[in-house]
Amino acid sequence: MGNLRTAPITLLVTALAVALADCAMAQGCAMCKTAVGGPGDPLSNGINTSILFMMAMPFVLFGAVGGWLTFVFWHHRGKKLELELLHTEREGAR
Amino acid sequence: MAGRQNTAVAHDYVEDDVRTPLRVVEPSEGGPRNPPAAPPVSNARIAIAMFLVAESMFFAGLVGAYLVFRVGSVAWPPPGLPALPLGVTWFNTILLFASGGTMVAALRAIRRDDQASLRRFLWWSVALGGVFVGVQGLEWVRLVHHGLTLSSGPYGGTFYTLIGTHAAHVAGAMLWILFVLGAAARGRYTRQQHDGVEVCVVYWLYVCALWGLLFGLVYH
Amino acid sequence: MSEAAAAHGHEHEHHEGGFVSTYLFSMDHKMIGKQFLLLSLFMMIIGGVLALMVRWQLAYPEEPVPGMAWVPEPYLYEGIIPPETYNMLFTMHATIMIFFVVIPILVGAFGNFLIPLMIGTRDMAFPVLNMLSFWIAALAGVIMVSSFFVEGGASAGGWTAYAPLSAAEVYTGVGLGQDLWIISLVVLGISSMMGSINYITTIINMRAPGMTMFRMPLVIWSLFITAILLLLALPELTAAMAMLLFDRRFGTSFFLPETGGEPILWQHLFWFFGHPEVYILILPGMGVASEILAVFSRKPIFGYRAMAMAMIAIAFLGWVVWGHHMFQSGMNPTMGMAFMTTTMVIAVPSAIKTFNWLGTLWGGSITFQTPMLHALAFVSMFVIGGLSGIFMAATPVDIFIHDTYFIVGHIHYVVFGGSVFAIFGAVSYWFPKMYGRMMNETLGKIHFFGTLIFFNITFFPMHIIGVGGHMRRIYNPLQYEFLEPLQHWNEIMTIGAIGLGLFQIVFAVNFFYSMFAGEKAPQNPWNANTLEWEAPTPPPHGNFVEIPTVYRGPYEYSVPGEKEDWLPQAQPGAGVAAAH
Repeated sequence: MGNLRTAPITLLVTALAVALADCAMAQGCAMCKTAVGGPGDPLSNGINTSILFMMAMPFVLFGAVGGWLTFVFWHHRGKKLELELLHTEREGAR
Repeated sequence: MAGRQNTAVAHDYVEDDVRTPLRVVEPSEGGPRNPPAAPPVSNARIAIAMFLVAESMFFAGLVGAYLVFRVGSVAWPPPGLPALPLGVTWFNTILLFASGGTMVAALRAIRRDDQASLRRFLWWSVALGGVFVGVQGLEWVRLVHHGLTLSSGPYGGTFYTLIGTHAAHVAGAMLWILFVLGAAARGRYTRQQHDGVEVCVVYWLYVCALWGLLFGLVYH
Repeated sequence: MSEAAAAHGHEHEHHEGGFVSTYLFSMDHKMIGKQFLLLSLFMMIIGGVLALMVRWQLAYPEEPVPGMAWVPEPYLYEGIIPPETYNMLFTMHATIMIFFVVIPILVGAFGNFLIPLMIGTRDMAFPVLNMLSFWIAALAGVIMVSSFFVEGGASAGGWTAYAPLSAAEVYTGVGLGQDLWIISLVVLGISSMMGSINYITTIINMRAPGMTMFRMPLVIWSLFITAILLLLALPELTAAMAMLLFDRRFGTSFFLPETGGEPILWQHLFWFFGHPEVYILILPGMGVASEILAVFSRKPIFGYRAMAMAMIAIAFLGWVVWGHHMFQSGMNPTMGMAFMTTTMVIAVPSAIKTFNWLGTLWGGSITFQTPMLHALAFVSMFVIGGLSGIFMAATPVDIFIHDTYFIVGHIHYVVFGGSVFAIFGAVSYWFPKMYGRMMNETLGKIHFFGTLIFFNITFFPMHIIGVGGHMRRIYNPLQYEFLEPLQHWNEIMTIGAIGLGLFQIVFAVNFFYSMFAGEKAPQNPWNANTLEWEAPTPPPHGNFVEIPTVYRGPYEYSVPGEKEDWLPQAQPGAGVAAAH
């Protein structure tokens, strides 16, 4: 079964899946194009921009904080493993 | 949001037929040998990070609305509305960023156990923040006088809501600093243990950074 | 005031703790969880009564509601519901059920009660914040209920509060009531944010030794992910609510078209929150179902890792489908297709979970106690709701069924059939741990079967009449000639709803009777593996005599070679599956 080693790949695939499913983001704006006015109507551009911005925000925030925490925890885990290794070596040497 | 690890100690649970006296079993008595070491990121740091995430989503909602109107308008600002006071606000921005600097200095101070400097820099931050809010308020009065109100269409509404909410956050953060000052005066913070200061500083820096973004977005 | 200082204080005060500090302002997560549960069950009664009144009006339009003649005008006219009141009824029914029943029970009550116990720690990271989060939620509830008693009555613009209907008093006639509705939800958002911060911090930092993330029970995973969703979604709703309040009271024009505002902005902002919201409603229920199904099949959850990943995927994808609530806004068909695609994609992780639940059951030693019955109902009713969702995801279909009873049927199959059955399952499963007594099994089964049968009688016909064109939120179906052939369904559904309501009395009786006079519960009545069963029943302050160490995952049931068919997480020893 996968463990922490496959986690980055899993995350990457998941992120890609989301991004690809999102390939219609540009058209996403068109959502209100017709509701609001004809093509070229600036308000539809406004809603378009707003959609893109708001949609990105949760991922940006989650990515930033999640990335920070992941990095810190991996770093810490590395240090802990080093310490444990030292400890057992010392014990073995006794 | 105190920073210390939760070390709740068990004691009697008050219920009629379930009185279970509890005590923590020390390692010397055969209790669990490796009690959990301090986690890599303290509770306080995680908590403030989560709080900032929530705040960011709140402002994202306001900015999302702002973008609809700004990008969606043929002319922005709409004709007939007063121009925003760019010069004064630049000055204000520098003040606010300076207060961010004094907050960092405050944190550095407590990290070397310099209680006096800690308090001094906290006071500077409050003062600078206060000037920021005060000048913004005065500018608002002028803008209203010149015809830019909450009811000036989406332009007025989004301006006052965005900038006003930010100002409210600065004011709230100032109250927080005062609270931290009170605790500092009571000798609450040490070089080893100053989570309260750190969390407050992080929040203040966030408010400053947020201002940078909002200033850039709304005033230009 | 730090919680460490408070704990320190407790240590030195050899007092019993009066009623106030034990039952009212407790900082013990278990008591706070129970407070959420009791408050929400009370709100559920209000929400249920509102629903029954809606159903009455639909089945017997403009006939006096039995037993309601005492309600003064202009709310009711000698028991007859006028249109303005009708709008209030369905608005408040939805608002109360969503915000003051399902979320507080699953996230507030069970999140609070279970998280420290199941990850093996003594309490939440921030007990004072925890206590505050309950009382702020209670305050929000008071504000919401108070809105019924102000002039103009409670909010009547739908729980979705579309502008400009909700943005100007002139449209609904509701004044202060709508403002109170907005303020209540803002206050509730604050409570929820506090709770989320607490849960996330606790789960990240305070797990017992040996409890890695992938040894956490799935219900904790679901609560963790839900807390993150709440943290991200609710503040954005707060921003939207603030703008709505400003439009109403401070002369802004975000949503009012006469002064330059944009009504579609409200839909955009609201559904950006609204869609993650529905995943918030269902994810904890999925977690609960996973726990119960494993225990009562005596089998490990099929595909534990996939289950956790699927929940993460649902949470991720939940942010990119909100346009499917706006298929009828006049959007460009290409865009409709984009949101249709993402909406169908999000069904995949839910399907993975469903098949994994079935895989869990397959070949298991299944026993049909009350919690298991509710979990099985969860899976089957949620599948029905999900299937109707697929129809709605197809834009060409949704153009026709949007705002009909098909949608209402879908909603209730996933929220009642899903979340509420999960709530009943969770209550009956963890009741022994919460109160030290067992719930009555016979009453539990009577309640279950009555609820299941009447639930389906009430909500299944909604699909039929929806496809037949019966609109939602209409006051009097008899005003529309084309709805006449469908009217008998309305009567059937109302009878179903009344039956459904009556059977909840059985639950209430069971719940309160068992709390005081139920059979004393053993420490682990279900022979389950997870850590909460290591604590005494009911757990005292501090939960565990000593913090357990975790040696394996939570679903080691029927492990070949083991003597028992269960292998607790905290039981030392290599065990066959120790390498997990």
